[in-house]
Amino acid sequence: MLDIFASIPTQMDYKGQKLAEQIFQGIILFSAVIGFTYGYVIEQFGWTVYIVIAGFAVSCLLTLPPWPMYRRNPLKWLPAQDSAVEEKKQQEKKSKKHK
Amino acid sequence: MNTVLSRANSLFAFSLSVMAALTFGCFITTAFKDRVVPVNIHVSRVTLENVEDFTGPREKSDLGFLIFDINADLQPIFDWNVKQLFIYLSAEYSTKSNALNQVVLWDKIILRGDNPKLSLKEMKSKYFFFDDGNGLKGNRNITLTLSWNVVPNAGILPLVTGSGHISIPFPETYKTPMSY
Amino acid sequence: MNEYHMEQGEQGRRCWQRQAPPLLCQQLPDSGSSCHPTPGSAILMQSLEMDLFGDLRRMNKRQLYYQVLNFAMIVSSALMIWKGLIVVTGSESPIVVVLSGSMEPAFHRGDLLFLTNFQEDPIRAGEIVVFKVEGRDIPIVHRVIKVHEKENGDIKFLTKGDNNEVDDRGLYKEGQNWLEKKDVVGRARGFLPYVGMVTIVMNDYPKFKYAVLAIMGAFVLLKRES
Repeated sequence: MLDIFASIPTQMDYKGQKLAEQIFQGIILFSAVIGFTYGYVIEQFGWTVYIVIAGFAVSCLLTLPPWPMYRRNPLKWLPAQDSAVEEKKQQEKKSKKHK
Repeated sequence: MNTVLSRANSLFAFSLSVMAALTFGCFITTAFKDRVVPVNIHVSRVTLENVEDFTGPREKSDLGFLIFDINADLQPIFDWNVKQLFIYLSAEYSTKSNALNQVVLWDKIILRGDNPKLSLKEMKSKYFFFDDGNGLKGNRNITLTLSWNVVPNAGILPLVTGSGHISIPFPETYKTPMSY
Repeated sequence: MNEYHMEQGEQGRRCWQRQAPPLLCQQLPDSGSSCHPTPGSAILMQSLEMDLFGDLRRMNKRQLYYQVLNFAMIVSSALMIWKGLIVVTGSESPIVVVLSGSMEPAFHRGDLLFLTNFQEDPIRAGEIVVFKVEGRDIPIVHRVIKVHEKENGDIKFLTKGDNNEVDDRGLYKEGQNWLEKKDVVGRARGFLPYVGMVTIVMNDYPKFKYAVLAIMGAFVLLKRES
């Protein structure tokens, strides 16, 4: 069971985070403009509020979960080095200096 | 922005700021609007009595009874930032003891969506028209105005007086009805 | 908000556990505090709590003072704004939350009112005033329905809630028939719906209030400014 949970990806990469932020800002600003105009025309501010809430819901759905499109640029890490080998090297260096 | 929670947090914060900006926009588009409309008030009969003010002070005071008609179309006042109108008919006059008296005789709440056309016939006042003393008898100048308090969705709460008020004299004696 | 922050991934964590060379750390774009862990705490920083105290542990004295000062700054600027509003509006409490339904449907529980109380501003019928009655702690928000003003400016007035059937004489002190200028806390000038709901919830559930305050205080004090 725990393995299944552990295998669910939870993080976005840096570019994905930036993309997610741009997407939700775009959606909410767009819904705000639409809602304001529509509410002004039909003279119901309530509709403005509803449209913005709808935009909020849509952007929650689109940007909260780490969808694959936010994981396209994973960081490249240096390969893990074996610490045992490292220590040996350093010891070798030291011993060389001593000589 | 790295976890679901921090994304939810910034998403929520951003939406709230946008909502606040929109609310301010709604307020600013209606803040400078002129909300005066013409009003037609007619008083058909006034009776005066002198009784103990049972609503409070327990002193012998002048009590007036009015029968009135009101006609007004309040539709132009409503826009997208008006939640309700509180309309009230008030009598304003001065007496020997008080330089200014204002008494609300009748009021009504008109919500958005209610019928904004007022056409009242032969109405009696909703509240007792007690003076603070005996200043109604023979008062030459009692002014009746219809005013409204605009309650917005968000914003200022202006008091507006309708254009068209009437001034009437009150009877010189008690218990003799005066017609106009 | 614009800082893109990467939780140390599985790989990253493994690297730190094995005393990764400093080069690897620099390779990460500046990701705030998680980049420079002290050797002992790196493995432990998994839960939020641990992360919080990890931040605290990584602060030196100077940062700690800065943190406390920052907290004091927030509290004192809130106080300054409040006191400044009192001076500007002339009202002893310029922002009030509606607590009862006696002014419905104009004001509901949780709506916010902005008050002014300029002395030269006359009190007139139809206005919504906030007043205090002797023997009652909580001020009342109601509408003026009767005004009697003398030549010298002495004023007495009567109020009534829009949603109440009768005037407020039953609410006043026994034998009191009129309110005077000194009873007025402010006149309602601005209105904002729902915003005061937070304070209502906090008043109704004091435990919730203390929990929120504690969490917010902890975050401000323990979380390092980036």
